[in-house]
Amino acid sequence: MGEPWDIDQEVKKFLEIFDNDPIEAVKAIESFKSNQATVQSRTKPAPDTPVIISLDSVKKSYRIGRQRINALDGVSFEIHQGELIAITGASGSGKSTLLQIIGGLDKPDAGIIEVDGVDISKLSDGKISKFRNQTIGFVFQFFYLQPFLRLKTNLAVPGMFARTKRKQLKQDVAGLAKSVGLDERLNHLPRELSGGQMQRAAIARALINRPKIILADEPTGNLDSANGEAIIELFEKIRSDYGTTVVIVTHDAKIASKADREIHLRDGQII
Amino acid sequence: MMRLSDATIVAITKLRTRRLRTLVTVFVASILFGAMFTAVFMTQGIIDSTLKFSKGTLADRYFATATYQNQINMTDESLPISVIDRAKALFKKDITDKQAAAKRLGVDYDSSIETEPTVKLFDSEILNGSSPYAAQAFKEYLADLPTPQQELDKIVGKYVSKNIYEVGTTESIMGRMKMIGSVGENFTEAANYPSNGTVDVNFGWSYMDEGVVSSFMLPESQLSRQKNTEAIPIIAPISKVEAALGLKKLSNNTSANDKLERLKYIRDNADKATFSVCYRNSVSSSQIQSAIDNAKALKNNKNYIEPALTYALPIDANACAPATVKRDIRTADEKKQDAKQIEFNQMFGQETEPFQKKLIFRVVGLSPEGFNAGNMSNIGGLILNITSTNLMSSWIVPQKLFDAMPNNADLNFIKPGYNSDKLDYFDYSQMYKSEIVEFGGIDELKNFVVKEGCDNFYCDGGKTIYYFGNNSVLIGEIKDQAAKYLGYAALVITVIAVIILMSMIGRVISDSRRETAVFRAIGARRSDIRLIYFSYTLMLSIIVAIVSLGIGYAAIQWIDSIISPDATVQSHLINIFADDNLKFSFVGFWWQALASIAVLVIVGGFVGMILPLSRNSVRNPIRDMRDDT
Ligand SMILES: Nc1ncnc2c1ncn2[C@@H]1O[C@H](COP(=O)(O)OP(=O)(O)OP(=O)(O)O)[C@@H](O)[C@H]1O
Ligand SMILES: [Mg+2]
Repeated sequence: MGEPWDIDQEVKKFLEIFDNDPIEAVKAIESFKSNQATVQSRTKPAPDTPVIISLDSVKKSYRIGRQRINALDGVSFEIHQGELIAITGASGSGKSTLLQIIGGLDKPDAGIIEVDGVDISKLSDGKISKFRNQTIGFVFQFFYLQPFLRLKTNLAVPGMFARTKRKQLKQDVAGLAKSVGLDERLNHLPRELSGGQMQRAAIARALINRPKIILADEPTGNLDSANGEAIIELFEKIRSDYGTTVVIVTHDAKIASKADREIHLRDGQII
Repeated sequence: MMRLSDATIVAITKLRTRRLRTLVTVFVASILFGAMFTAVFMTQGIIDSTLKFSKGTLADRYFATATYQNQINMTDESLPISVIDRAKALFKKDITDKQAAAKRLGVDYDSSIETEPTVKLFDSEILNGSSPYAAQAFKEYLADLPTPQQELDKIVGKYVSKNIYEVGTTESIMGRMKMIGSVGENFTEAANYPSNGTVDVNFGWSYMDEGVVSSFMLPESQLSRQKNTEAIPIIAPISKVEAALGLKKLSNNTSANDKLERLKYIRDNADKATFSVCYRNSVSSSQIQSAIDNAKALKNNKNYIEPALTYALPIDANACAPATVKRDIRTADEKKQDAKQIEFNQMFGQETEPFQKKLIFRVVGLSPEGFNAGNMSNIGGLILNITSTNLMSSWIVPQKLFDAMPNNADLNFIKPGYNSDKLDYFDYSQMYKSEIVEFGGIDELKNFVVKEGCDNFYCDGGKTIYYFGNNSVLIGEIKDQAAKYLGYAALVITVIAVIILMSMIGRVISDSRRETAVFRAIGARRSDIRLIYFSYTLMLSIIVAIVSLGIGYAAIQWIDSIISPDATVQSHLINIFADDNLKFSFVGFWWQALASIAVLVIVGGFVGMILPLSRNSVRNPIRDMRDDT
C-alpha cells in the first residue's frame, strides 16, 4: 500500500517546511515520531462487528490555480462498528479531507465510500443532511459552539434540525450534559466555560441524535494534555456505553496509541 | 425543515452580533418609515379634525353647484348676419328718432356720439361689444335660444334632488356704491377693488337661501335682539365684523387662547355690527363729481370761469345726500333749454334725476375668511377647501330674511337682474345661470357630479358641475391624493430601506459563514439555514416596523403639540359656530395605511434578504469552515 518509505525525501520535506514555518515543522516532527511509532498500523485485531465505514480507492483532489493537489490519492480501508480509530499523518496529508468525505461533507472524485451500508456519495442534499444529522456526530478542534446560545440550547441544535420532540430533547440534553459532567453548566454561555468544558459540550452536542459514528478532527488540538486525555477517555466511555464508532484525527502520538487502530496518511495515501 | 420557533431561537443570536450596526440600521430604516407613519397619522388627523369641526355645517349635506353658461359670445363671428343687420337697423332708427325729436324740441343733437353697432374684424363685420344697439340685437337673438335656466333644468332634471337653490348676485346694479365709514362717505377717492384681503360689501354680495346658509347664521336669540328690521340682513366676513365692532385686529403673535377669546367675542356681539353704503345712480354721482371738479378748478386755476350751474358736496357725509346746488345763475332761456334737453334724454330712456339711497346692513351671520377658490389640484388647496366649507362669496344676503323686510319694495334696484331690460345695458347674467342642488345622500351627489361634471373642473358645452360644501367627497379625494403621494414616497423609501437592510442582512450572513458551515456539518439542510435567515429578517423588520411606528407616533405628537393651537384657531375661524371646546388634532389613525406601511417594512426586509441569501446558498460549507481557523 502506498509509496515505499523514503527517508531522504521525508528529510527534504521537513527542511522545506522548517524554512517556511517552524511551528509547523515541530508538528511535523511530532507527526514523524508518531509515524515511526505506529507504522505497524494495526494494534488490535478487527472486532467481529459488521463493517460500518468502507472506502475503496477513494480519490480527492483540489485545484489551486493551475496546480492540482491530490488530497486523497486512492485510499482504501474498512472500519468496524464500535472501533476507536486514530487517523494520523503530517499536516496536509489529507486527514481532514478524509474525515469530511466520511462525514458526507464532501464527495470523492473517484472510488467508493459506504457508510452504514449506504453509498453516501450518491445522496441528495436533503438526504445527506439527514445522514450528517442522524448517523454522524462531528467534533471540531475549535469546538464551534454558538457563542450567544446557552449550553442547553447549543447542545440541542442538532436535535432542532431533527425536529426531535421538545420534551425528549430536553431530557437528552440533560442526560448527556450529565454524562460529560456539565449538568451544572447548562445555563452558561460558551465563553464562560474552559476549553476542556467547551470540547465536552461539543461532544455532547455531537451525541444528541445518538449517531452511530463520531468524527473528531483534532479534538484535543486546542487543549492541554490533561484535558486532552480526559477527552479521549470520554470517547472511550462513549464507545463502550453506546457502541459508537469513533474516528479521531490527531497529531498526538499518545492519543493515537489509545486507539484500537491507527490509520496513517502520507500525501493522501495510507501507509 | 426545523421548527420556526427553533429557527427563531437561533436567529435571535444574530441580532446580538454586530449590535452597533444593527442599531444604526434599525434607526435609519425606522427614521425613513417613521416619516411615512407620521404622514399617515397627519393625513388622518387632518381629516378627522376637519370632520369634527364641520359637523352641522354645509359639510354634512350633499350639495353640488351647477352652472350653465351660453357658449355664444356677443362678438362671435359666427352670429347670423341677420343679427348684425338688426343692430344696424336699431342704430339707424335710433338716430332718425333722435334727430326728429331734437328738431321738434329744438335741442342740439350730434349723432356721432352714438356707438357704432358693429366693428370690422379683418374681412368680416362683428357686433360692437360696447354698443347698446348691438346689445339689443344680441338679446333678441338669445331670446329665441333656450335660456341657461332651461339648459340647467334639462341637466338637473334628470336626477332626483332634494332642493334646488337659486343664487342671485348684484352684478346688474347700475349705480355706484361707496362705504360710509367712520368719517362718512369718501367722495374724492374712487372705490378701488382691494388687491388683497376681503372686499367690502360695496363690491357686491350674493343672495342665497337660508336652506343653504343657515349654518353661517347667528342663533335666533341674537337675531331677535335686532331692532332695525329695515336694515338689510347680511352674512359678513368675520374680519369686517371685527372692524365694525370697533375692535383692532389682533397682532399675529397673539396667543391662540386670546385669538379664540376674540372670536367668541365677535360671535357674541356680531348682531350689533352694521355697515353703511351709499348708493348713487349715474346722475347723482356725476353731480358729486362735478362738485369736486369745480372746487378743484377754482383752487388751482385763477382764470377759471365757473359755469352758470354749479354743485357743492353734501354737508353731511354720513347722510348719503345728493350734491347741493352751489350757484344757479342761468337765464330763463338757459333753464328752458336745459329742461328741453332733460325731456329729450328722458324720451330716450336716460336717467335724468339724481337718485341716492343709504343702505344699512345688519349682520345676521358670519362667514369665514380666506377662501381660495378653484385650487383643487393639490393637497394644500384641497385641505383649505374642505376646512372652509366655502360659500362662493364672503358677503351673503339670506334670501328669506331679505324678502321679509318691510321696506323690500324700496330695494328693487339692488335685486338680481333688475336692470336687464334697459336698452343700453347688456346683462351678462342672462348668459349664465348658477344654482345649488341638494341631494339626499352622498351616492346621489356623486352620481350627479361624476356623470355631469368633468375631470378638469371646467367642462365643454358651457356647464360647470362641482361639489359644493360637502367634504366627504373631497376627503375621499384627499385620501386618494395622499395615498398617491405616500405611494411614491413609500416606493423611494422602500428602495432605500431595502438597500440598507440588504447590506445588514448580507453582513450578518457573511459573518455567520462559519456558523452556517458548522450547522451544515451537524445536519442543517439548506432549507434550515434559509429558515433561520427568514426568521432573522422577520424579526429585524418587525423591530424596524415597531420602532418606526414609535418614531412616527412620537414625531406626530411633537408636531401636533407645536401646530395644533394655531390650527385650532384657524379651524374655529373657519367654522365659526363650532363647539368652543373642539381642538384640531393632527393625530389620526388611518389603519389601512398604517398596516400597509408595516407590511411594506416586512416585505422590504424580505426583498433585502433575497440576494445575500441566494448568494449564500451556493457556498461550500467546508471552505467556510477552513477560512476561519
Ligand atoms: N478546500 C480546499 N481547497 C484547496 N486545497 C485543499 C482544500 N482542502 C484541503 N486542501 C489541500 O488538500 C491537502 C489535504 O488537506 P487536509 O486539510 O486534508 O490536510 P490535514 O491532513 O487535515 O492537515 P492538518 O493536519 O494541517 O489539518 C492539503 O494540501 C490542503 O492544502
Ligand atoms: Mg486537518
